[in-house]
Amino acid sequence: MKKLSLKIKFLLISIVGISLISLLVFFNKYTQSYFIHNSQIEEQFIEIKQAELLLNHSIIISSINIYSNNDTIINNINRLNLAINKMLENNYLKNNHPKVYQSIVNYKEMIHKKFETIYKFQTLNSAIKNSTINLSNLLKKLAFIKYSSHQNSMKKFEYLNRVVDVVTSVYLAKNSFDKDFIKNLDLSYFEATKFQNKKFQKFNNVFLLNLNVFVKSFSKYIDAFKQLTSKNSINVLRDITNSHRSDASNNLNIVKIVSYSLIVFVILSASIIMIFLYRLKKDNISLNFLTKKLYKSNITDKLTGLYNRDKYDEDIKIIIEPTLILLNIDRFKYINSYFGSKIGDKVLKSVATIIRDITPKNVNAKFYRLGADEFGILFSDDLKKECTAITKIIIEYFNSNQIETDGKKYNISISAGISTESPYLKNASIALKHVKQSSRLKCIQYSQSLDEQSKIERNIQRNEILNDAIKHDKIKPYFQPIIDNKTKKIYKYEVLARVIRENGKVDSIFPYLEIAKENKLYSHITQAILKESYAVFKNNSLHFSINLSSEDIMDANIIDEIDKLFFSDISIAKRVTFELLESEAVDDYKEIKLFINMAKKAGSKIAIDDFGSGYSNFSHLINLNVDYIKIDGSLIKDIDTNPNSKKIVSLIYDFSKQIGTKTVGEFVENESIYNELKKIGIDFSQGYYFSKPVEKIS
Amino acid sequence: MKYIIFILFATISILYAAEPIDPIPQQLIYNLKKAKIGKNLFFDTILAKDRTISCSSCHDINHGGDDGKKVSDGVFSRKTDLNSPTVLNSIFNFKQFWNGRANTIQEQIDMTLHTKDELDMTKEMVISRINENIKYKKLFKEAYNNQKISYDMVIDSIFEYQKTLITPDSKFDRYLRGEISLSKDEEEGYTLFKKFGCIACHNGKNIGGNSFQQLGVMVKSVNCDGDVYSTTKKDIDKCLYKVPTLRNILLTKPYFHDGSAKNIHDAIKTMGYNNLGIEIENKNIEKIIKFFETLNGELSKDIK
Repeated sequence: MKKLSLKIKFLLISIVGISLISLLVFFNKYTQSYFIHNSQIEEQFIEIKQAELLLNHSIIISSINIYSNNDTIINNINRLNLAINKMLENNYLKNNHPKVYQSIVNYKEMIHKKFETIYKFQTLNSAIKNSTINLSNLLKKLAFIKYSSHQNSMKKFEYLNRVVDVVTSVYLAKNSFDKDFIKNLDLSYFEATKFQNKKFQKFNNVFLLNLNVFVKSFSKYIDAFKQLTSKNSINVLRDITNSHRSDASNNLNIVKIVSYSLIVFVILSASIIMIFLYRLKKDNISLNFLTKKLYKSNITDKLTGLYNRDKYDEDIKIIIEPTLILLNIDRFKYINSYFGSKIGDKVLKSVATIIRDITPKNVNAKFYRLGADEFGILFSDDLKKECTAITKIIIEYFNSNQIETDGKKYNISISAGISTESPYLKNASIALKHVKQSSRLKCIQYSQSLDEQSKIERNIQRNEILNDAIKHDKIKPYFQPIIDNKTKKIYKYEVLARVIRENGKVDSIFPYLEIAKENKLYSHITQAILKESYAVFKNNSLHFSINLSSEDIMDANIIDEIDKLFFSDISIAKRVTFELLESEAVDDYKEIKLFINMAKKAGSKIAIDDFGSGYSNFSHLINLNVDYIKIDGSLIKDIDTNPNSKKIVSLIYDFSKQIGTKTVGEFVENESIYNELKKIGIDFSQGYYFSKPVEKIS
Repeated sequence: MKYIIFILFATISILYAAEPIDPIPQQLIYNLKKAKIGKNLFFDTILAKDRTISCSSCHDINHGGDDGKKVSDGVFSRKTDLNSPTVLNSIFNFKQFWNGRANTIQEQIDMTLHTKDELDMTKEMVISRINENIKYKKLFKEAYNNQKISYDMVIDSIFEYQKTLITPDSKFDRYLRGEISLSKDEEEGYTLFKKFGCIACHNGKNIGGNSFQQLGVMVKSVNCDGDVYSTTKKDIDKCLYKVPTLRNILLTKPYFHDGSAKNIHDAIKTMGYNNLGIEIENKNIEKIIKFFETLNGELSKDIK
């Protein structure tokens, strides 16, 4: 449905566009033809006007000049006629301006009447001209007519006077185109006058003839002249020209239509764009709303309505120098297990509400649920001092108030860790941990001294690895040869415990020893090594040594195991050496002595491990009656470079000689160390210079 | 310098314009093929109802362009009312016929074809006769590129021929063009012609033929047959005729619309008295005739 409407929209837009383009094309064509044709018409109007003015001019000239060429008038008539006919042949005019066309047809009729008048004028003009010329010629003749003596001079004089008067009037009238000059001409005098003189009589006759023609024609002549030179038809033409102009400009309505439709189109387009924009905005708003809603659900803990961990992670990045209060419900897991998780949830909910409600509103705090029973309050930097007070308020509240859920009341206590240093959550957790370990404090602020974080972490990891290894028999003995310095041959092997990790990596046991002791796993390691060593060495004749700590010696199970595996069989007992760790503080020499005696009795040897470090004690050594002294690696490692080490080692050597004990140097990493030891007189060497601890004895 | 030349030209043009008579052009542009057809038709009796006469019967182009008769003979030996006017230079007349009832040569041809006492034809007859004629069929096709010969084509071809019927290079034209000078008598004749007022009506390149004038404006003429009044029936048009051309005037006797003047002498005398109100002395008439002699021209070009 939406697709269809889109298509229809597209179609509509196309139609509008195409029609607009065709309108423009039509407009272009129309205006072009409009201007060409109308300018042509304008030119023709000018030509007509000019032709008529020329015609009028030629009429005036012909009336003034004595000799005139009528061809000029005829030519101008033809020119005017041609111009009008040409205009009437213009189909554009006929079709587009029918009224103007009709006016021109009427004008043509008018002009043709004018032509008729011109022909009449030509006729009259000739008569007027000739009679005027003749009258003047006659006047000249009159002077030459000889009068007979008996002629009445008075009569003659009067006649002459009258002739002159008449001719003068005629000339005045002719030249001024004014009928008034001949209005009062008395022709009857000349008609009545009779001359006996034939010449006079003939003169009078001819004079009268011409005078009559003039008088008869002049009035018509003047009328025709005035009619011809009037501006009537010129004015008509001017009106037609003007009406054509206004008509033509009316025809330019197309321009209006086009411009209006363009305006409408532009407004329409703008409106459509605005509607689209409005819709987009609306969509955007609802989208924003949705996003916000989604975001809110994303950052909110469903159970408590506080912000969740994600939101905390976000906020902690934004807030400058924040303070985090981490609150933990003490022994919450008991609530869960005693009352059920339903109640647990309700308790969490109430705790969350209370924490939020009792925190002063004027501090801009944000509340989070950060763990199952852990809540966080974030403050901005300027509240560092106050937050301790706030924490106390919260803790105090729970101490003195019970939480009521479903009509039942629960006692709840809260511990708090505060951190003002990044990483906030971890540091607060560390602080909290300290609170938990303490019986007295309910709130601790983190400081670097509390930082055992890495240690804890490491221990947790090692504990896991160790546990895993013990569970899966992955505590394995590795063997490092101990070389007789004199023969440079393998004298025996030291058994070293190794932890085989899940990923196959082989770790030395040393990093695990502490955690093993803490977690009472130590004996497991020793047990494992004892068993594995036995398995390896029972069927051969090689000498070997096993490390034992003072804890091992205190452990009756271990002693039993040693007794069972090694001391019961003389063939193996005489091949084993027990290396006792000298580095450990030995509390109970009694127990050690007992073990040593036990071992000696069975035929085994005793070595003191790591002698020269820690609690090394020469007097003990004498008391313990050991077979080997294993000089601590830290003294051997730099014996070739450090003269002090050399001195100590020499001292130990001298001492060992005096009590009749053999010496072993460990950490012999290169030839020069070996040479030094040999020089001093150390009996045995052990280290990477000869061999790493290996999985199997070749 | 430029200014002087301008004044010189201006003066010359004013003088020239002031001259009431102009020379006729030495040649008019015409279509030869069409004019040839026109010539054929002009001499062909095909256009007369009884096939006895042609245009040339009344308008002998070699003898002044008229027939020398008082009044002309039409078809079936019918007499016309009026003296045949010359066809020579008639193209320069502002209207045709004595009373100017035809505005153009074409109209005149049409009317002459239709007039009962002249050729007495109808349009249809003309079309059918010409279309049946193999010679014209061929000629018209060549000239008009049209299978069917129309009435207008017939008239047009005669009109085209009419354009060749002009007589340029008369002595007087050459005088007007400044090529030659007139003899003393001729010049005096021309001066008298102007002085007596003849020039008032006989002016322009055709020395007449450009206005209507009243015959007997001073002293009434007896006969006014076929005047303008005969067609317009307006009193004012009584005795009004188109002023005839004076070119080749000595070749076209008898004179006037009714052929009442047997010779030029009488004609000049009559016109002087009736139209100018003067009695022209014989010696002056002779001088005017001398001037008239300079008005004879040569047919510009005979089409073979």
